Amino acid sequence: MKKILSILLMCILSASFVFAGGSSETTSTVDLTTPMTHEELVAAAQAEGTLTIYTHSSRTTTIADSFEELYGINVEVTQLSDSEMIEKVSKEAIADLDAADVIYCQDGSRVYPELLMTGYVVSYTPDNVKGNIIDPQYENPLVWEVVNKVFVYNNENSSEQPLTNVWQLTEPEWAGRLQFKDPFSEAVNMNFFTMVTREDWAEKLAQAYKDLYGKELVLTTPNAGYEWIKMLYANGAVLGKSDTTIAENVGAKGQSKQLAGLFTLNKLRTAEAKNLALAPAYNMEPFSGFMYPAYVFITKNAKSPNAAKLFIEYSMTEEGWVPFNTMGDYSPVSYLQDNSEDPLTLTDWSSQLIYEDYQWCAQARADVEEFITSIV
Amino acid sequence: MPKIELKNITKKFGDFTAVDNLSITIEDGDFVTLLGPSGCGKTTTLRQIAGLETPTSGEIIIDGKIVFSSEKMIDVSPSKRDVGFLFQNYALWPHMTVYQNIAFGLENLKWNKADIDKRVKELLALLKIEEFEARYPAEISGGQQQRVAIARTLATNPRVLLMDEPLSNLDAKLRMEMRTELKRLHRETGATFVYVTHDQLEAMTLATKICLLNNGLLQQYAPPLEVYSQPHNLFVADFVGSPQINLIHCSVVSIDDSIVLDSGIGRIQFAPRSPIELTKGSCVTVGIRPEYFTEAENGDGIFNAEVVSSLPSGMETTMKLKIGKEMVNSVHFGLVDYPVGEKIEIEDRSDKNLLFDTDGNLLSLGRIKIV
Amino acid sequence: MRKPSNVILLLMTIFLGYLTLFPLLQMVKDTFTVHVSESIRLNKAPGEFTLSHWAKVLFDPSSLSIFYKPFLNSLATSLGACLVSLVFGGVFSWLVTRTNMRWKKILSTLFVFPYIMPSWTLALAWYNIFKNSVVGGVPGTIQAITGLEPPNWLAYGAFPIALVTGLHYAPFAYIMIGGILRNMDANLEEAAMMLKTSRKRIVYKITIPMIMPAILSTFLLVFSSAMSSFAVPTFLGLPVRYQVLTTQLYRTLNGINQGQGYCIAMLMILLSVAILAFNQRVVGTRKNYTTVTGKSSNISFINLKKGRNVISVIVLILVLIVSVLPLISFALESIILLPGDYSFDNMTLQFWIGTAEQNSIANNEPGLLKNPELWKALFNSLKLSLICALTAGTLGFLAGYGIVRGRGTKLAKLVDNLAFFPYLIPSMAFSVIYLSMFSTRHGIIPPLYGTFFLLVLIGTVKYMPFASRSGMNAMMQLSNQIEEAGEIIGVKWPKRMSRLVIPIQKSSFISGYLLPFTSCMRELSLFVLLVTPSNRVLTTLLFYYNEKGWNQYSNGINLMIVIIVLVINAVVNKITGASIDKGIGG
Repeated sequence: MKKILSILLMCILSASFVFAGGSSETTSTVDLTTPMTHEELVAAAQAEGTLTIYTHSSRTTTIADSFEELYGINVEVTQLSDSEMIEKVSKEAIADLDAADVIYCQDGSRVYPELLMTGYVVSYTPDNVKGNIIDPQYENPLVWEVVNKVFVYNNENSSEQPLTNVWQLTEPEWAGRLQFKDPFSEAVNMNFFTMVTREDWAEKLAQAYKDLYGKELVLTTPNAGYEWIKMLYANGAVLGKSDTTIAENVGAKGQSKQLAGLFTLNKLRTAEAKNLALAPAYNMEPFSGFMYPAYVFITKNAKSPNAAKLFIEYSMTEEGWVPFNTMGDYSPVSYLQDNSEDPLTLTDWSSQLIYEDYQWCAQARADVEEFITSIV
Repeated sequence: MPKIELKNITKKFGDFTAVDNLSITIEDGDFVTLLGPSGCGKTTTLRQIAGLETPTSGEIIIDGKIVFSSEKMIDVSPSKRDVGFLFQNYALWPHMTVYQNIAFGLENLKWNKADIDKRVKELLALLKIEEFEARYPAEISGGQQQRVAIARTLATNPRVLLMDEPLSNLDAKLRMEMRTELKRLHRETGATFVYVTHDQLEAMTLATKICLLNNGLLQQYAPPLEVYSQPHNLFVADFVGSPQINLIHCSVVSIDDSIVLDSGIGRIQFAPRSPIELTKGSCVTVGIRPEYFTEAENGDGIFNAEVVSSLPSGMETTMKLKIGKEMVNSVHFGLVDYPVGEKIEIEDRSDKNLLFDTDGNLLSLGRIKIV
Repeated sequence: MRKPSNVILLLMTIFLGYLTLFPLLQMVKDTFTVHVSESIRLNKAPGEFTLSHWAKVLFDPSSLSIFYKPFLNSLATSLGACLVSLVFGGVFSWLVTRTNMRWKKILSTLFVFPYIMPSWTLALAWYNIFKNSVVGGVPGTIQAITGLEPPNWLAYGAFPIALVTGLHYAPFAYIMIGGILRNMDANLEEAAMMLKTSRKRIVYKITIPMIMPAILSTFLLVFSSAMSSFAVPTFLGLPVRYQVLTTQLYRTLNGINQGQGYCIAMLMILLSVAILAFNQRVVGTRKNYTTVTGKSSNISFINLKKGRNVISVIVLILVLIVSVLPLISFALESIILLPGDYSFDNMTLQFWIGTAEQNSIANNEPGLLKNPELWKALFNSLKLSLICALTAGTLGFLAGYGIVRGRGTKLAKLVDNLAFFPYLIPSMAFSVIYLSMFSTRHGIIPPLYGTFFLLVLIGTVKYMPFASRSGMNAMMQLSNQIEEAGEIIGVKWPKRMSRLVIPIQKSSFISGYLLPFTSCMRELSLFVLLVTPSNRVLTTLLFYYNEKGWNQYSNGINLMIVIIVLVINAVVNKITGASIDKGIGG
């Protein structure tokens, strides 16, 4: 009896191990080379009939609704967090499941090595966008939009901008007054911290320190970027769960101390409706925050590759872009530069903010993660 | 010395009255059994004496000290009443050894280790359980557990020992043995014992006094033989005695010269020991203990009976007889047996036959004969 | 082999071995291999062997903050939670079973509420009440009312985490300890009282040793649950950056150091197993408790006298705070327009019944009741919970049957441990493993990722411990002779089960379904990685809204989940007499 049992167990276990690694390599179903006219594309897309999208933003649903109305293609949209997205898309690719056709995602530092390099997704630049991208850094892979997170302060009792240099945030006066989302639950925030440790930004930080205090920064860490992170945390930075909550906490009126936060500018849209006093800190030394790309990809085994192409194309037309024509969202496409809510354009912001470099992040983020783990 | 007085004790659980205005005095050194069918309030009464249950009203005095009084708002806690309590299921602590169980109470009294050890050894010997000293309760038999429970209760030398059906979980042989043991303990310790049982035989054999309860009401409080021979009412008569007493319903035919009654066993004459009052035509009950029927010797007042069943046990033979329209129990002593169906003649020569009135209360003892 | 119980045990061993042992081995393997996200940094190909994860977690200068500090914090908060739940639940069960405290019936019902609610419920309430100016924003209730600012230690970190987790799991203590106290012969305590034992000594020497097995079981359950609790430390630890193992696990599994995450998960499992082993060792001695306990015919309640009203009111208030206040707060939070303003003018039903256009304040999300996403998620939640309850309940009952009937054999012991094991695996790690395990073909098993079946599978395995425990409880109470009587007159096994065993233990049997159902309805971390578009459930939707900071919606869904579960429990209880507490401890 016992013998039978142990043999059975052994069989199961060994069988499982043998089959565990057996992922099948399949080639992509997506054909990016054959040129198609718009009409051909529409016809092919409508023949496919349905489209599944994974996205990091709920507003993609709104695009999907108008797309559905326009082309009669049934769209299913699911919102996922960054790491869920990567887990799911790679697992689906390995299992050769045709779950998603299009993914809108952020966190280049993981998307690049884990999805793009592995060939699980491919970047597709639609015809209407080709040649219309304002800066080469937004091409290849195609950046669908740029989002910014800016230092924002409570302006209920101050007409003047209280912050002009990021090192101010490490002063005792600002102790416990800065809030941002835990970088461990918000990958783009972690990427931002990774970016400040890159040599060029570290140098700019060192310079900003000198400009502010008139003396050299004394390093206890590899460079000024690490030093700034360390001092920021040591100064009692408060970690939050969501940018919405942080915006509410920072902007609530009637608080005795003035707070500031680093969160997406998008939260300023509803500030008035929520009775919040919030203003962005422009032109800080050496940066007022950061901006990061959100990408759009077609999965390698998309079952509706043409609908996917059509959707990407549509989402980058004036009509499709409408839900994102807001403060805090910026298109890299030249004909979508007019932001109805923000006087500053993407070009304006890019001179004030750190832009996420996926290659640097992919390479250095683990060190920064470990560094932050060790200082908290 | 401990004398226990219960005065007008009433205990209600919601609408249900468990004990109804009970007043008894238990003298020092008594062995009183609280007897009655299940649910009669006997355990509740015992627990009230111990202080484990709080009476709704009344007063309890132990050894001259009021331990409970609803009027004076006194309620002395069980640990201060100086009584021992033996539980029906022994309530031995399963996580302690036999030794630890017995020693526990002594530790509470802050005895020193040597004295405790001496006393525990003494009790182990007294109850013949020395060899189980180091065992846990789950590892010994029911009878042994029972002895441990007794030893634990006796350890602190309580002057009053309250026992709640302590023998009901034992087999018949062990029970007999333990009864003897208890009687011996009672004599040796000189303590006052109050003992709850639903077994009338146990009550009869052990007690110096029986307190018989029914539905929370006191039925009779008297020595066992008195309860047996002069039961206060039909309930007591019926409850005590085995085989059961024969209760024969009669109607009063004549009260002029002698009392003549009509019944299922025929027309009988009842001669009371003392004069009684009866109304003609009223319904009464005559109680005849089974052993009062004997084989007829002379021709006067003979009942003609037919043997329905006969159960000889050697010492005595218990029979069901049919007299007239009634079935009666009868016990014949000695080595006798009768074939079923045989017609025999019997008579009742006892002067302790009972006459109960319409309400079931005892009117008088007396002789009966058939007319 | 003639006995059906042996067949069941054998099948269970295969089933559970595959679904619990294999993931465990997989996890062990994952602690030694390079993962895709780590390959650039470690300069090795994905899948290669590496010792770096263990080195980083245990033997590196940064191990202190990666593992040791969070480990000590986890240990402290889990032990604290055990203490809180044992004291709160223990005292409450003593008051209910041994004294004449008032309103026992309603109090007992309310007391179990927190268990039915999602675990973050109380943490959220605590946060709202005690938050201070560290996080800024609208002041917490205490500060708003008294003007005094709660100190940090009271508002965030170890103290509130332990307290809130402890209160959440106090129902365990009540159900287990209360169960024993109710069944424990009150004479045992009375006997001590008659021997002039002081009240304190009775509790200390008699009551506590008697309920020790229950205390230890509670300890085990609360400790493992507290160790793997994620939501509470996230809510209450983040503002002061108080890290515990689960938050660390989340960080690493969600970040790019997954190997370290698996190491942490392994260590968490090891710790729980150690506690389980300790527990079994202590309980399994010769002091056989079960044989001596039985229903006591006459428990007399201790008269609290003058304290009765005071104690009753205090307990009532505590229970209301823990069990009812959160519900009121959810309802309130779901209808206020601007946070922190509870005036009537600020109340609106737009988050429940408003259209997308009306809700520009929340990114044009339609009101909950008009939101097709919500209805779909609700339907999925109910479907998933029902199916999981059916499978986990049935399999658990069969396992319980096999274990009790085969008692004493090695096989029974193995199945017993296998069936309980999933309880000790942190949900998050469990789902990550299932995700990677079932995204590829395994012999005859096709890739299950993305199917509803996978959700059912993981739910079934994860909740079987509850069902098998309640199955064992039910079978323990049922004498073998009942079945033997059937066997002798030639009744076949299926009929013996359906006509004898199940009808007799009906309420325990159904309780075994109720627990998985309830747990499934409020589970988040187990499913969050495995759901696909068509499979989204209520809790993942709630999590999404919460992440977005749309509090009205998340509070609204929270309220819906709690009410649905409460109503279903109440209905099942009314109809069949089954209840959650019967399932856990009997």
